[in-house]
Amino acid sequence: MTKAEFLDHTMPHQGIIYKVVNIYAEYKEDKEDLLQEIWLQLWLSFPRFKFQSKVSTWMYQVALNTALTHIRKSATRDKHFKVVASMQHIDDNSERAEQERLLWDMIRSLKQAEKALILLYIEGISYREIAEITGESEGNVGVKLNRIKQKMKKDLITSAKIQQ
Amino acid sequence: MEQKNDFESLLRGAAARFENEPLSEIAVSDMIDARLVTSKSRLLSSFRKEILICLICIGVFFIYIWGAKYFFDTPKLAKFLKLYTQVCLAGMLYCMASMLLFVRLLQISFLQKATGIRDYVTVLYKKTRWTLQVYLWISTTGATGMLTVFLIASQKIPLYWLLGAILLSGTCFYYLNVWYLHKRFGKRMQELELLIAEFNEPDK
Repeated sequence: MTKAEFLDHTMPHQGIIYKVVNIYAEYKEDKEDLLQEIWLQLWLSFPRFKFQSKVSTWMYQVALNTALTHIRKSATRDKHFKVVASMQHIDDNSERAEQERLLWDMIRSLKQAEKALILLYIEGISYREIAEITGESEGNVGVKLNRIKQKMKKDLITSAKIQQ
Repeated sequence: MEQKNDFESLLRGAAARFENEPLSEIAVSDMIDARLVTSKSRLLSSFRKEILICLICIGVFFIYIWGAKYFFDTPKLAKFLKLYTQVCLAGMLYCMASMLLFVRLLQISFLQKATGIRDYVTVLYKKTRWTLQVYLWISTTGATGMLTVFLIASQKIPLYWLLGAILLSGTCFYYLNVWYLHKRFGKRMQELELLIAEFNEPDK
């Protein structure tokens, strides 16, 4: 397997890596570190990839497994910086933007397994494929996703009420 | 229904706000090469650290035997050299246990990542725990064995005191190792346990 071959298969799906990095790492250095680690792990895993599943499924598995077992540094950083870092991507101050920011922060504060599920859901991946990526049953995925969404909706309403 | 759709679009909107500029093929290729070099140097530095830990342990053994020599007032040099060799052997055993731990943990870190998250995390946890247990018992047995040989060779302690000393030192070595493993790998193991629990949470 050459690097050109590897890049041909993975480059069209590189958005997957950014999604995982943005959800699992909060600070610039951590993001860069995780991004590099995921690319490296993909490159190292590629020779064993037999194309029995979709390239995107394989990339999600490697990226999520790497993210879940890689990031451990954030807890020691300054909390003030954490807030600034989570807001810096939002340019407009409209109500919708504010809600999206709130929602994004909520996703960030979810449990690790919940983050993985909601990320895959946002990407529009089918329950069957989510089950394949996470190793859970399809039914379990559905139930857990509903639970996470209900929790987020409730939190969003509560936050909106507090702001009013 | 409208509220549901609104939530879904908010969710997707939030995700879309964090899209990044795509990288070029050359940038990714360079990134992989640079990361490979970094990983290699990190590995070498970890290896150096392990060697240093082993050397410190052997150093401590040497200090111990020198101290013991004066404590027990061993008159004959031949007897001292015999003990010295035994301590060296124990030190080597400890080094081997440390290196075994290091190499095995390294192998585990190269586990196939293209698998279901739940399976990956579970296998990673089980293999790491097993390796730490093996290390714990090898190093405890090695250290206690060394002390036992030393005490028997010194021939100055009655049998019941000898058994008591072995039992006490064995327990101390065991808990010292447990503390060391907890200090070094405790957080990682806790995180893995938490992940396993999250992925195995029942669908109420």
